[in-house]
Amino acid sequence: MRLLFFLVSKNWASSHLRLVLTWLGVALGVAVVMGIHILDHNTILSQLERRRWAYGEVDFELRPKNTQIQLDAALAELRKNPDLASVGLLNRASIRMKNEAGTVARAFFYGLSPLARNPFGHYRVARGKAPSDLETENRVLLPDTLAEALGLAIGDRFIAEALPLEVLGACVDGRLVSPDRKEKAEDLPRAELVLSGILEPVRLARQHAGLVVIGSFGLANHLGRHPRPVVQVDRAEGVDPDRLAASFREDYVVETERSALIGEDADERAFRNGVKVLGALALVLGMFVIFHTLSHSLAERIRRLGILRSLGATQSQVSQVFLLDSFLLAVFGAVGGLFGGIGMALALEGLGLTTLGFGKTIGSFELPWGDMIVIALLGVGFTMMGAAFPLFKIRNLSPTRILHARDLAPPVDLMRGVHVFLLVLLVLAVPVTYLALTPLLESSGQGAVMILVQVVGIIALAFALLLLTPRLVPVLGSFPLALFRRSQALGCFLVRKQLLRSPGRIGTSVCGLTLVALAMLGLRSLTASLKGEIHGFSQEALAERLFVRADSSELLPRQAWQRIQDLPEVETVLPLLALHNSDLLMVGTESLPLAAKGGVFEGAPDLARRFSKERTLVLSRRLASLRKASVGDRLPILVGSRVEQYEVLAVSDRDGFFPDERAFALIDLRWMKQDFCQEPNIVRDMSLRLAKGSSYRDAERSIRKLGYPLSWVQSGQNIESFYLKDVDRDFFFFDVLLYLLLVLAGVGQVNLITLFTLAREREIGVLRALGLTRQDFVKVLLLESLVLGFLATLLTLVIGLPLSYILVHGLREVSGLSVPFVFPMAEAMAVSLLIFVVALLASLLPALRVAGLPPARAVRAPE
Amino acid sequence: MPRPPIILEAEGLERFEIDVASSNGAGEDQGVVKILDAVSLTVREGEFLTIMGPSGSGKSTLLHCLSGLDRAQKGRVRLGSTELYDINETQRTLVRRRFLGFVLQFFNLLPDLTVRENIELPLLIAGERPKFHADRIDELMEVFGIQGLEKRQPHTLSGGEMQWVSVARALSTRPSLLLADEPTGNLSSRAGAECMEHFVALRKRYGIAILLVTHNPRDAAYGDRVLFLADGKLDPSTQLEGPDLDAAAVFSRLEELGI
Repeated sequence: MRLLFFLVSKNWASSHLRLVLTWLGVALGVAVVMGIHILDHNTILSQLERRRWAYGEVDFELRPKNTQIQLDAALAELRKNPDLASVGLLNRASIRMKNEAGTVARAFFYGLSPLARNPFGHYRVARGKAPSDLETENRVLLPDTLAEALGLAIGDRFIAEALPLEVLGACVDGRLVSPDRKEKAEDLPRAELVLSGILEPVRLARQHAGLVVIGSFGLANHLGRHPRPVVQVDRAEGVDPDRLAASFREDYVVETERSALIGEDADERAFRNGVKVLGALALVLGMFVIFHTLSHSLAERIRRLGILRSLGATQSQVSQVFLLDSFLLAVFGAVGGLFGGIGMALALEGLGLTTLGFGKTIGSFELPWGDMIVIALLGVGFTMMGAAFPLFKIRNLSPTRILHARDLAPPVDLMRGVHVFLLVLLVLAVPVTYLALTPLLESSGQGAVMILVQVVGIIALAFALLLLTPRLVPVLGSFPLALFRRSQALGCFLVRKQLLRSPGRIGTSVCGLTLVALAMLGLRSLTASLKGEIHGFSQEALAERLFVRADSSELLPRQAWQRIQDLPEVETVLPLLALHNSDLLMVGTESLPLAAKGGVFEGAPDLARRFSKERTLVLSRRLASLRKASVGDRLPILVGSRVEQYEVLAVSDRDGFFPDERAFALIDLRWMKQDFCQEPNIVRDMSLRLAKGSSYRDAERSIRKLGYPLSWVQSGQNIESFYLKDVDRDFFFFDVLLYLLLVLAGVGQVNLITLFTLAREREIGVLRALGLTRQDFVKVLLLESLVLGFLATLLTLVIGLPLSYILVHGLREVSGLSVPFVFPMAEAMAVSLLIFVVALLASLLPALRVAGLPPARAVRAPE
Repeated sequence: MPRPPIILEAEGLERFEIDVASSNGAGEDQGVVKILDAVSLTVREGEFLTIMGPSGSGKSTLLHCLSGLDRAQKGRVRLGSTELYDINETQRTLVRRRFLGFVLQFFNLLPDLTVRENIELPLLIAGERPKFHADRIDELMEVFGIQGLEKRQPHTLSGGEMQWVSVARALSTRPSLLLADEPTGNLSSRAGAECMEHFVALRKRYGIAILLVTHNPRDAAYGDRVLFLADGKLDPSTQLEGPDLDAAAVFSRLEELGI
């Protein structure tokens, strides 16, 4: 062991630069992956905590898929799960309470099991005490306000009974009516309860304006008319919420809308999936750098290995030296990456970024040590593999052949095969590992996985072409060299020789740079396409329009619509009455403006008539896309307790949009009254189409002069620019990550060139002795970088186009947006330029270092 | 008969290094090791000068300082009409490129280049197009008997063949002075003798001056003049020259000097 540590320490002492660069490669690779993971973990955690403040410390609510399942058995099973800290049941019932004096109050009864232990912190007792967990328990807790309203003191008794069904009225022909059949009062479930304690106004006691009763789960079941018990769980500390949720999905419906596990909206989920995919890319690239750096580092030191062998060291001893060397570097690198990752996550959080985009806050910061250690071990594992591969390759070579490894170089490439190994490992194994570690979110996950598979496929195809047929490298590399053949004859000659000598090394570097360039280009394509989509939408829904919202205290009556319509700046007024019905945003309006010039029914009076007379609707493009509905389809719409069929008359964004939501259904105000009992003569929102030549400012001034209290007036142009800025703002996070990846790729490149030039010190010395100046040498390296940049750019452009198409197509699938495909040619050029710059910068450090080397020392450098 | 003009002149060259292991900071000279100690010499056009010295005597350092590959801390070197230490590193390289050819002990052929490409390399470095000098390259290959090897790569050659390529490479730009650092060090005695015969023949054929450093008395005896370097010092009074110079004379001078 002493010999091992002695040799490793000597090895490290002999080249600080190699040591630092290798360490940096490992650390940076691990840090990027670690940073993304920590940030994501804390983003989700904060979402959960925000929910807890208002609800309790519940991570998930689970509803068994099998309705016949025995809850007790399911609970017993869940309680065995080591990833769960707490498991419980909750049920809710609407009740009516009556005290001895006959005072009545309505409230919501929350039944909990366990109740006394209160594992989720659903309530806090201010006075009195919590009821027991007994099945027969009839003692309950009330908030102070409710207890006072009923004149109850601790120990007092009162009656609770289920709410009769007729209390929930239904809208029939524009009027709210009760059901014909009335339940007999004596048939209603009821119970005599005892006030056991007073609740603090927090958590559940804050719900429903404090009209809450907390008691046993059994009581809630007894009083509830439609019992829908849910299983509540709280994860053990450090357990990844995503993975835990994924583990439940086979047996349970995980109620994401209540658990707040993920962002509320589809775009947030898509965003987070994007982060995950980028995380996979970071992992690929990080491990790519680590593996490649270590492999080359060892391959370049192979001669020392031969010397040790010739001095009597066994193959096993030699392997131990190099593996220990790599292991220590890997561990130090992983530790560096671990702290770097924490720092990166904190820095991104400081910038206001989360994995759900901007605008979300991270409350407390927790480190998921379990996952962090797995990521660090993954880094160590890859580093070890990077070291082990060349050792494996030379296991059967004799010491003398190893000693002459340099002479063997052209026909026997020690790194041959490593690229194939790397390719298979990185494009298949790593993404799978990463996705297993942090599964993509369920709703849009499958789509995202399919995109990932396609993306990985196309990249693998192109990379495989380059890595498996390295002869392509000198062939393709000769094109940019042709430009310099006359002015830089020597440089071209030497670079061509390099291309022939190490096509694998150069091919791998090209792939590394291309990977980042592709990610950047893909992102730009997404951004450009999203902006294209917004522009298309804007042309249809926002151009020459003014959007007006009244103050909530005073809405806009029909007279106001008329007065605004009479303004010379206004061509059409579209009153908008919004209603969230089930999961659908319905917007009521009049048919007349729809048939006017520029309206959705322009030139189609029959449709306008049908819109008014029949149960019909106009779907916005996004809603039609989400529902996969088209003209002529009949959509079932929940109307009270019944379902009515509405026919789709048109799919258009021309009318009805108000800048909150792009997925909406437009119906006539008549039907808003008829089916939903909404008052059709008063609205809060309006969309105005301006007369030709009118300016937004003039129109706004004229409208405000009318004296209506308006809280909001915005032009379509402003709304478009807000949307466009929103795209840039959200994608800024990806930009930050991509620039980090670019740094990572750059460091990998610096590593490779430095290791390569260190190994060529003697050769460089000979060239200097033969009359090569420092400047000549720097030119040679820069020329080599130019070739590298050219190949990376070529590959980026060749793969970039189909890749961008797949990404945009994927976005279309996942988000339901009608995103046009826009290939950002100018930005593709900018990305190419950036790759050239990175390649040149990466070669500059080693070039300057070697150029500064005294030629006499280089000539004496050991072979 | 007038003596040929001086092509290389060095005066008072001193080169020292700090020996970290023995330095304790006690005195000014403590831990300073002199590699070259006030070395002066001249090489005239067409002259074959050998410098003889044991391992570690500073031969290679002297050669590097004379060529401008390295520089001495004290003293001056004039190559042709250029003071090497008065110009910057790039200019030194350009002067070296024009005047000097280098033959190194370990051949130092570039492994990726073919034999012919290795020989043409200095021409490329000098910015010339090798095809315009094809006759010269062919001639050199013929002189060294390596005509059939031009497409071969270095690792397929014998030690002797590698050295012929190395010498041919050094001569490809027609330098005025050939510097050779232990050129026979890695060769068999037979190949070594053949190598030295080549040097003599080259000198006659091209009129080139040769400065050779060696620790082999037999090789040293091929020179017109032999200088002895010991502990970084070169004493001109101990030099050997004359028509009857042979290995035995070099041996006896070595014994006299206790080297």
